[in-house]
Amino acid sequence: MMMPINTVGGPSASEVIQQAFCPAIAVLSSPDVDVVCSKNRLTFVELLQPFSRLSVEGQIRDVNQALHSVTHFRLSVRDISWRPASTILARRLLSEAVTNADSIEINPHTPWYDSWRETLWSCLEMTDHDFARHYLATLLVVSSSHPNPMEQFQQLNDQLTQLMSSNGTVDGPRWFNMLSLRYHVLIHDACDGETSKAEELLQTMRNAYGSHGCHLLVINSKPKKGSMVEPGLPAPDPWLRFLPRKASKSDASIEGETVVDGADAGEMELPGKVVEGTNSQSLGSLPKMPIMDALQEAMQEININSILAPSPSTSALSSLTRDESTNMKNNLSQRSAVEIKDDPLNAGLGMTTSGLSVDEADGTGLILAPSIVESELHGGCLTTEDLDRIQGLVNDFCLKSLLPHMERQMRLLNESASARKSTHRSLLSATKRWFGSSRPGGLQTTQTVAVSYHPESVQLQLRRLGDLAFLLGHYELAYHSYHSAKKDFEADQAWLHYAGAMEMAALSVFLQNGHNRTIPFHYFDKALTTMPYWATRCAVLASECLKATNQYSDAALQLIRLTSEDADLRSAVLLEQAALCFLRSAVKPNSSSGDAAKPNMVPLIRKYAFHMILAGHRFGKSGQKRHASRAYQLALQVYKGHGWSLAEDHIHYTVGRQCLNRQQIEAACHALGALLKPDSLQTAAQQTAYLNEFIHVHQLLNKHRENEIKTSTSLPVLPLPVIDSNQIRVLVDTKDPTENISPPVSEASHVTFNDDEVHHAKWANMEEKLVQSAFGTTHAMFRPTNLLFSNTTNNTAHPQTYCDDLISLELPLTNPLRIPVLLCDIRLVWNFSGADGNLSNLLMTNNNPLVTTYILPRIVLNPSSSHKVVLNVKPKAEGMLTIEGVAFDLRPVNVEPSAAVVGLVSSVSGRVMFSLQGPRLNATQQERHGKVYASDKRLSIQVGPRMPKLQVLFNSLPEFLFSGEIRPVVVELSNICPSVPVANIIIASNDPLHLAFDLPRIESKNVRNDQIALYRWDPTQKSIKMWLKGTENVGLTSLDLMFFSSNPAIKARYRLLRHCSKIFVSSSLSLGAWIQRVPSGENRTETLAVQLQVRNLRDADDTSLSGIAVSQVALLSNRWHLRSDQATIPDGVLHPQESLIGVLLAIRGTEKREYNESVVLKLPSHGRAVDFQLDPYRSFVKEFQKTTPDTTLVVCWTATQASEDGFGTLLIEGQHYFGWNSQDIASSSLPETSLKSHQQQLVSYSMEYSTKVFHDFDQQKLCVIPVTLYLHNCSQQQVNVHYSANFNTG
Amino acid sequence: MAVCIGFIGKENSPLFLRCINPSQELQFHYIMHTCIDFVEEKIIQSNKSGSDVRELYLGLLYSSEEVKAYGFVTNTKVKIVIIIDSTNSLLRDNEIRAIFRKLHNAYTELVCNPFYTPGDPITAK
Repeated sequence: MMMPINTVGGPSASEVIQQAFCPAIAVLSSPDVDVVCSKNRLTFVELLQPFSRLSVEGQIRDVNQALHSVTHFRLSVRDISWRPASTILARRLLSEAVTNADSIEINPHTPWYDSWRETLWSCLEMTDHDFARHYLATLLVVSSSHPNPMEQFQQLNDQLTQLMSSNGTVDGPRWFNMLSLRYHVLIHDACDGETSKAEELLQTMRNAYGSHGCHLLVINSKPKKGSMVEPGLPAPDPWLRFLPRKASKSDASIEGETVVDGADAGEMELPGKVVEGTNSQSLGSLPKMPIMDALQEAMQEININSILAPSPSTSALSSLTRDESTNMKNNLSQRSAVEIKDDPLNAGLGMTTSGLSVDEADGTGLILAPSIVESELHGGCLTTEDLDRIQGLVNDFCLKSLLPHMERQMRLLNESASARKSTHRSLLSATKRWFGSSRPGGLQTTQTVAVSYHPESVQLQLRRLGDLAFLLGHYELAYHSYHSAKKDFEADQAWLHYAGAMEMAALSVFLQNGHNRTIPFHYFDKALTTMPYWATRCAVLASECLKATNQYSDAALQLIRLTSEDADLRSAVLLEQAALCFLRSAVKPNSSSGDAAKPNMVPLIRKYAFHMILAGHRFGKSGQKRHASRAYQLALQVYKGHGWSLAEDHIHYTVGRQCLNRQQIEAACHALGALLKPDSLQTAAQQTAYLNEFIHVHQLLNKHRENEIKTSTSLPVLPLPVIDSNQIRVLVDTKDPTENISPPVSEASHVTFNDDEVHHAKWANMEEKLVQSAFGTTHAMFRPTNLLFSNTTNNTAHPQTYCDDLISLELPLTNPLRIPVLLCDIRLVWNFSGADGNLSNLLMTNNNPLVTTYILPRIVLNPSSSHKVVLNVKPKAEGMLTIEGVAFDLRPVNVEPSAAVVGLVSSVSGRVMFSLQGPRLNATQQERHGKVYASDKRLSIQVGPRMPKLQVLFNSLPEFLFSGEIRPVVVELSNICPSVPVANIIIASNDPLHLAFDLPRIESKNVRNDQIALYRWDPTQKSIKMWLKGTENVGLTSLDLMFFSSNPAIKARYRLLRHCSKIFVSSSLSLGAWIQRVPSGENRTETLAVQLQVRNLRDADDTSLSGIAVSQVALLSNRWHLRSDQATIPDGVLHPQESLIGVLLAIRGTEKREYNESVVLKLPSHGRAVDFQLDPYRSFVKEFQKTTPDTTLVVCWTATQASEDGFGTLLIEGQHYFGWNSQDIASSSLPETSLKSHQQQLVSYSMEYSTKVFHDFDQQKLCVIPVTLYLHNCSQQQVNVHYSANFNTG
Repeated sequence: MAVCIGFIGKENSPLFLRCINPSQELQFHYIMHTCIDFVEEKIIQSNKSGSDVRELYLGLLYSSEEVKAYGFVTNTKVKIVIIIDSTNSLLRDNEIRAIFRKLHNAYTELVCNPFYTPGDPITAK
């Protein structure tokens, strides 16, 4: 028979149905039987259970005498006193069945569903409309040790007859019919009593009850010797699969319920109890003894815990395991002994070892429930032959008695049914049909009149026939019987019977051959609507059939229909199955079952997820927290990462709460941490709640950990705040924070995070020049030192720093939430590997000898904003310092004041780790094809040996200068790392025009970088003078200095200190000059007239500068010198916007001197004349003359400036230069018109003509006026002149 | 009046979701999410029919005792879902279509906005 193959594993649909319906056999035994069996710690029913399946194929002849083979024949053996569980108990059993399924991780087979289903079957009551579950036969069992077995049999027979006579009453057991089969079993203890006596007895029994109705079962061939186990014991204990059930059953029986074990054909298994290799069967057992039942739950709890979170207590338990195992060793079979000895050795065995463990916290003191003890408990006195004999009993019973009996019954029923069919029923149904009122569909509510049939009525006979055929696997006959019974029931409006028959009819069709006939699924529907009480079974079966035929969405509908408000567990289990159905709805139909499934279906993953959520909710309500979290987590896989953040948050929150309830704090932390993610749509209030919850859970976790392990563990990684590792900037060789520097004194700025020009080429040029000068040569591939590392710099090399240098990190901390967050005690987490090995501050207190960590006390991160935080560390030894992350205490900000007083301020310590990735490489073919990223080493800092460190202090470094103003500044240099000598201090400046030092200048041979001036510092000097001169251009200028120093002991290492400050230059004077040759007079020396214009450019309403006085005018030239006697320069102070015009005469000197300085004017009020042979003037002039080498006119001025406090005045002095070449002597310049005048003066002209001409136009029409044009070439070059005349008449 | 309106992007992540009663937002998120299944199913069905010009309006996606969901898919696979109260009998098919047309136009205008990157959650008011 071809069955639709269930593609997803687990029992197939037909197996499920066959499990639900198998022939029930009652057992009626005398008390002494139990005595015999209890040697094995089993009851007789339990003894039979593992063997209740017929191991050979049986054959029957059906009603038409055709041979029909019976396969998969299975018995359901129950004690006669068995009763279905009461409603409350049933609920509890179902719940346990779901709980006990341990392999709770993602498992498409959902073993807990199978076990729930099995339990459901066994909890159903026997009713009169369903005969398949009624006892077909009774086993009467008597022990041979009974003093008078035959009498006992007789008694049992009587007892049975009595019971059967009350068949059909409410609570008692029900028999299929009055002709129930009786089978007599004599159980004989081989060690206790003579076999020959038993044989005799059997003979007597055969005589009394017929040869087919009796059997002798010899067991306990092995003598019981204490608790020793013979090696001959069959290895896997066949009872194990059934006994957990027993445990929970007997647990229940404590509550006063007379529930004896032995439900359905022993299919109650605990799936995947522990599923690991060969150990599984022996290790997976559970205690059987009732006293251990209480432990069972605790054990499972431990089991679960250890599976979900590998428990650190394993090692603690393993020692206890060892004790137990030594006690046990002598009890163990050889193979088992090896296994258990292994366990303590493999202390980390996780599942296996903890599978053996019992909650120690319970204080029960009992640690182990090892399976080996169990296997000794069950069947300890049974040999393999005994087991064969038990199987033989079952086979014998089935083949010789039960099957013939059923065959006979079937034939009888068939005959009686067909006999009446023709006459009575057709007539009856015809009349009913004619006069009957309505359709069944609408009736089930109104028609409450219960139709009761006599047990022997024809309708029930038909139903019986169907049930028998169904049990025997003769589904065609079953279908026909059910079908005709259904018609009868419908006609009689016996809705319960009607529905039952329909259900069975549909199942028969399905089992008959699922894909050859259309399965009447509408039967299920009708059955469902008609009999609410049995609906669960019906729906489950229907959904199995639908699943088997790939009609998953219909199956899901069937299941969802059964969910209701009152039954949480049922709803949960069914919803989960429905969800799985939605997921499988895309499974392509098998080639063997080609009907119905729609092609091209997409899996309805979102419906799956939604129903999983619903299932999780119901699981949660029914107390199945584990399943609830599992369901939520499954659903989360669908929701995650698609932006459905509200749904995600809901799941995370629920999972978090549930984990918390189950004391799985770590998982709770994880789930709640996921709530604090960016882009959350939650409101601020909600986020506050989440954050508080998160912190609360973390505190619990810390407490938990402290209890568990005394050592402080590493800080947890927190989801807040968000740090974009790539934006981290690292500054090595940071300036130490300095005290004792009051405003007039300032320190060299060095490199800071705020510096925009850190990587400007000017610094590289200066450095190159410095290195060249200090070490003689530079490398061809000179690479400037980098101090500031960011995502734009080349980070393939480690940043270099020295001992005792401060390292700063700038971290962008982002708070993605809508509530402010307070961070306290923020500090860097680092790992230092030096000569003494590795060291990390993750576990240590803040200060240690090798690295100093600076702590930022607190910072408030405002909602949805980013803060840049600078954190420092200072290495004190050579090695490699790797910055790994940042640690802090996280707190919500708006803690209520009352809570703060009470001390309930909650905070959680945690860390955020950095992860850096360099830019993607794109250079080679390989890199272009794959994804190759450069390494980024900016957080791994190489710490070198101690180097001298300069501190540079400027005394009153100006921020404002007037153009041309010369201001002295005192510069102090000191080595703040006194243990290391300093040498070779060189200062570089890139603007010698406006900066001069009182230091010898190093003349450079290199023509490149000529703008850069170097000065060598004599280390004996403490301080030097530096002069600043305001630039000619008004506006912001920058003062750039670089200080070079090196350690004489260490070659090729040096340290640079930069200074960069901004100076605002405001206007003062403008200087213009107009130079012309003038007639030289008698001595024929070349003479120049210099007309000079000095203008005060200050605004008229400006009061900062009281007035500028020109104190000195000088001409510095090696050709010309001034004639001081012929200078006319007006005296006086220039007020804003006033100009001063003076004329000087210069004559060409005969001899060449280096400087010809002529002081022309000296205002009497300011006594000292400027000596241009001295610094800084010499230096400034020299630099100026590099650009205009010939002649320089210098105007010195003084002014009084109101000092900043507004009271005193400050005398400032300045100089302006004007230079020209002798070649352009005719040129002059006033700055604003210089170009124009220059061009005009190239050529000068004059015209000579008479202004009055008298002419008589009557005589001659044309008048000619002679005009003479004199052109004079002012320059020394040849000039082409174009002349064009333009007349203006009139 | 619709109780909830949602725009769902090409990759099935929500672009915009707004409902009248903010306390029910979670519920509508779930419903909206589940609606994607129906939308995809309908798209596949309409693809099978093979006509090039696809009807953008998908009609009723889902109806329960409380709500009804209507779907609409633009040519760029942006899904628009309107959820209305089941008791609301004023909104007929035609009115729903009109709402969808308006929403579609609004979305088109949004995409025309140079500052909007298609696929980002919609934050404009």
